[in-house]
Amino acid sequence: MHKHIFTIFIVLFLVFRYTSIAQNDTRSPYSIFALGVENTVATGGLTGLGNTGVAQTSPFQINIFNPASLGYLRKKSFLYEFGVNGTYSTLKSDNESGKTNSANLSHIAIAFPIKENWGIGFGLTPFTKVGYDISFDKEIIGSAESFRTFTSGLGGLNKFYIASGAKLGNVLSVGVDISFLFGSVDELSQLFSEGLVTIRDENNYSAINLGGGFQYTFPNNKTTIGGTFSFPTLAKGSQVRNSFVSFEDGALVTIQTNEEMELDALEFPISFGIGVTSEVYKDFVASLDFRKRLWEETSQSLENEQYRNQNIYGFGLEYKPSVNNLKYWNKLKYRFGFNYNSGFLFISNRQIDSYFFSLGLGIPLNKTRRNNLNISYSIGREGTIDNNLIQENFHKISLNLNFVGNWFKERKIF
Amino acid sequence: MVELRTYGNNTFTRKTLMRYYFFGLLSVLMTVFSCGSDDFASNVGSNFLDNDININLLDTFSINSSTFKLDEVNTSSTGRILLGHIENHIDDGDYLTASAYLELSRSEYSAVIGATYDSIGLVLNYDENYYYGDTAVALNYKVYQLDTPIANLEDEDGNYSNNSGLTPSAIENLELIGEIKDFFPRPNRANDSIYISLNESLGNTIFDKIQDAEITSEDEFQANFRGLVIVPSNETSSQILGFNVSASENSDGNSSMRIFYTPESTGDDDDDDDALSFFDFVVTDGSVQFNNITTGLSETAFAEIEDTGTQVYSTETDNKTYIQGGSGICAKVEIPGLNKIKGLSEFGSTLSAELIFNPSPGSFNNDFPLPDALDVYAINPNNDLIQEDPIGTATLIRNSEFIEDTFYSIDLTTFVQLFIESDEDVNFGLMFQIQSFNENVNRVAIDDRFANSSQLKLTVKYLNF
Repeated sequence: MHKHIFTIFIVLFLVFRYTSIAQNDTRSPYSIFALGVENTVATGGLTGLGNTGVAQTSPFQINIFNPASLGYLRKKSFLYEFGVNGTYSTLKSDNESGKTNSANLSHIAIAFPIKENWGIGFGLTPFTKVGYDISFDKEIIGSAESFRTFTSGLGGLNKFYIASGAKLGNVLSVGVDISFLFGSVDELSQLFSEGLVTIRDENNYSAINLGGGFQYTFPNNKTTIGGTFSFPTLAKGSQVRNSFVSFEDGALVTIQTNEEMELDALEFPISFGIGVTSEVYKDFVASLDFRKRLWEETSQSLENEQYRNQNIYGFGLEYKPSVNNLKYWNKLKYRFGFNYNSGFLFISNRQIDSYFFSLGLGIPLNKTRRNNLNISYSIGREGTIDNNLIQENFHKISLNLNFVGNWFKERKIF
Repeated sequence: MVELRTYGNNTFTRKTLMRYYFFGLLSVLMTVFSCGSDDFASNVGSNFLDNDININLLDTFSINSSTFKLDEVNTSSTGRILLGHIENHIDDGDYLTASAYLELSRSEYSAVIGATYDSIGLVLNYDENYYYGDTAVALNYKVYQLDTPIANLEDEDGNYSNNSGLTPSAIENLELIGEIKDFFPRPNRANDSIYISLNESLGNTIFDKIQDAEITSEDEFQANFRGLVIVPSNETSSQILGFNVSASENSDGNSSMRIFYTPESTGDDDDDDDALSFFDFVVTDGSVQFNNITTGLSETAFAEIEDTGTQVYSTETDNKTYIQGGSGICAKVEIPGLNKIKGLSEFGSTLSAELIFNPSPGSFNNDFPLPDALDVYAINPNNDLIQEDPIGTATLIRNSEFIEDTFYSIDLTTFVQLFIESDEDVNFGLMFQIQSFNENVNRVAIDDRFANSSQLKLTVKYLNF
């Protein structure tokens, strides 16, 4: 059992390391800031619920929004899951528009109990994504001529986390997690002026992030509140740069060859979240989350833009028919979600915010309904076309497969 | 899913199905969404984003230009005799005189049985590729016979240069063996020549000694005839002509000293007395040929370049700088401000660097044409070449409509980049010369006034990031 899991994990890790970075699903000029646009992955049945989950407890699905949820794992169980997603989006500005699409592995995660009421989990997921393709027109200083630079960036940070949570008594659980952030952003800038100038950067970043959370279930067993907290993190970066000019006559002038350089560290801010999940009506469970990231407290600054504190509001509603009816649709879970994210960038007098609506289905794959295929569809937009900015309209499909195995029973996985 | 359920409790089958199901979905998803993008966003984002890549155009370098003269120009074995005299070519009161030194010989010295001596003369075959100045003015050349071996004229380095040769008074003490006066040249005619009759007793003597086998080898011939020097008259010439010189004997395309003779009569009665034969004495591969090219600048603002070997800045010479082939007069350009580029940024590169200058309006015309190209050399503060080969070429950009907009352009991209990459400050300059300047006397006048269209300007496009 251990061996299988380990092997699969390693293989998927490698796939992840090389696939997700190569197959970037972002094509947003905004991703040039702060190591890319954030990538929020909802695990298990949380997909389709508007990225809520701070107060979600379930013994049968992994919740990476709050490590305290690991205290709820059942003895001898073993949870593992994989997710993929695909995005189709339209980018547009005042006078241009274009389409882009892509597919990614979104995460792999494993969780299991160490003891009664004490669980541990780890997993891998993209943390930020970078994908931009921008041209700059600039004047040649001292002349009326101009030149155009094409700059593209590709990459992002991945997150490997280890989390642990324990239940203290019957109502309270607490958890901590440590995340290792790592990844690279490859940037290519080219311009033509007398010769073709190429500047190729490979930027590598790494960081360690610590966080924690709690969940408290009210005695009526219908309502849970939760909270999460994450310390600020410095992502240290190093750059390897190659730059050269190739002239039309075939001459090649090398400016830098594998020039190594330390980059300014990027600071991810302190953040916290609170949430409540409650059975609001028979078979209806609603969740409300609020998360805040204090970007303004970081010491970094941008040239023409500003970092603003980020507020994220999520709402999710899940319907699980409890009628004892073997009709297939009665075995499904139906989900709806909404999310508003204020974003953290303030550019051209506009906050680059985003929102999405989502619909989801939880489809049981076995008799006990513990193995599930969770599908969700989201539609949303980010940014604005005002003030020469960019708006992205996106459609996203997510697939999660989560399984509950038995720790001590040898069985075939896949 | 319905199908899935019908497999009931068979765990293995279900697992297998699940596996296919998952990877099937994954494949479909990956295919449907397989990363594709329009060529969008080419311009999107640039309104609110910036980068650190800049290009600077710098064209306000201070530039010093000056004129200096090379110590010597090696003028031997160029295959071209240069003859003539021009005045007021650089400044009022200057002159340039080109005279030619030839050591002659031929491949064999055998008697021609029964032949009778006729005459001797000097054939100067026009080099149709080279004439300079006013060719409508009559020329006067004098031919003297050298009285010592030509090797005595070698300089310390064993070379013959523009400075090699005898003084005018020493030449006048030589034996004058021929002269041409008031002759109007037709230098643009291929295979046409100037013929100068030489002293008959010289011809007779040489002919007899060959017939008598007293001269049977080059050494024996040169012991009798050391060579000759051809000098133009200082009074009437106003052009420099080029004449071909090579080792080929009895040829239409070469200059030579030619002895005519009448072969032995073969017919009984026929009168073919007029059928003359000849043999040529030429500059063989082992013989010496060089041009003495003398300038006289002592009456001009450029006197110092001959006296001390130093440069004269254009600020003292009415903003004029000169280049002249043959005599080794060179224009020099120093760009002390170039060092400032180094401070622009840590990383950067020269995208282009162009130096332009205008030939002085009025300094060129059909008689005194501008060369299509000039060679550019790097020199140190002592005006010594840093490397033997030119570092670049100045190309003439003609403007026939606005003649004052005719200029020379030099691509200095590599040169400027070298400056920037070197740790030392720049203290070397550029020297301009006529291409193949050892075999012509063309002159270019540069006007470096920063006014109107006449200027000397360096424009550098510099990338930094």
